[in-house]
Amino acid sequence: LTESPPIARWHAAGAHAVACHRWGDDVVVYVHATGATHWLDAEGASAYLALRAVPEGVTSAALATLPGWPTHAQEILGELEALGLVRCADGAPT
Amino acid sequence: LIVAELGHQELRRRMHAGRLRLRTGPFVLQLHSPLRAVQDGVELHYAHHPVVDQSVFADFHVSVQRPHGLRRWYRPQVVFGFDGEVPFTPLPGDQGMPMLEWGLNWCVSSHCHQYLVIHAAAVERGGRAVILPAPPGSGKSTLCAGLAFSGWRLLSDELTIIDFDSRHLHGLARPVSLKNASIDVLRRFAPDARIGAVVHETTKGSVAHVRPPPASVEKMDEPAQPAWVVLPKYVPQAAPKLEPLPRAQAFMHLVDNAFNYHLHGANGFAALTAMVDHCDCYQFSYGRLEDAVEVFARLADRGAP
Repeated sequence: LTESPPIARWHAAGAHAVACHRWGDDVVVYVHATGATHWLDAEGASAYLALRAVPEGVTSAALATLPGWPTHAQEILGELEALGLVRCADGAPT
Repeated sequence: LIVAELGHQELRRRMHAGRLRLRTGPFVLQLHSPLRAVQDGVELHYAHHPVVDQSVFADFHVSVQRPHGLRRWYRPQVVFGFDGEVPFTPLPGDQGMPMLEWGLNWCVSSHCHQYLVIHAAAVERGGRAVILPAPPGSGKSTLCAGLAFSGWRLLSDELTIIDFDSRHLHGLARPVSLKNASIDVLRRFAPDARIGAVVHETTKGSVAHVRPPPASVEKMDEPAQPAWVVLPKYVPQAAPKLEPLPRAQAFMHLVDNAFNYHLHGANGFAALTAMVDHCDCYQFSYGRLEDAVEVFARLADRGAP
């Protein structure tokens, strides 16, 4: 028997880690860990908020099924990760 | 008691002895300078500011004087002192008044962290304030001075002071700093404005300060509610153009122009987003001060955002 590798899940940093304010499609965030403030474009904001709505996280394969998940958003996950807004990991959500 | 009521000799005596204590908005300054140019500058520009008794706590003890040693006499310089320290390198001897003003800006922006301090001009009319955040060279101070002499109350041409609890702005009503061609622009626009001596060859070019209108000083204790954020830009010969700006973009400009936002963490974020929630935001380009003032008059007449 071989053990299946764990499936990594994407998690969004929650309210304890990121303060978030929305004006229409525009979202600005403050990341406590870095002290940085960012303005997310519509696609980045939708992706982050969609992921933040599921604290348990989702697998890469299931991202597209998230309500509000924008087309092609998978391509910007790396940018959101670099900002400290999302992470891909096993185990508990951030 | 206001500075003008002290009389020329008493003002000089107090400044020479380092015992002139006056208030600008929420801050009390103690000024010390034996230099005539600085004494004359304070007499002109702070004429309507209240003199404060020596028993009242002074937030900043500042001085502008000659350095010790050779440069006191040979190609004389001036140094800015703050609580006995000398935070800046000396400047040429004729730049005492600009150095006082730049030093006072530094005092507020570097120490008054009970407020959120933004590098922006601010003026008020009818209880509502417009915040003008912009980098140097954008025509911010010129526009601010033009508005201050056109029915708006001057809060500040450099430092927008935001109260964390009320989200209101505090006025400082300090002199407006004009540079280069802006000096003559304001002379033509507001012939009654009292403009101090022009100091040439500073790091910013030729600089002159404009005395704040007396009405702005008299009302400097009245907080103002922010209603607009406008990013100004001077474009030679351009027709005035006021265009809506996304709130998020205006917010980021305020963050970029803040002196101490980074010190306040999430509280700064919360305060600034809450303030922008209640503001209409625009970007504005202009080529003539007269046109710009008309646009702002119409903006004020439109009513609350």
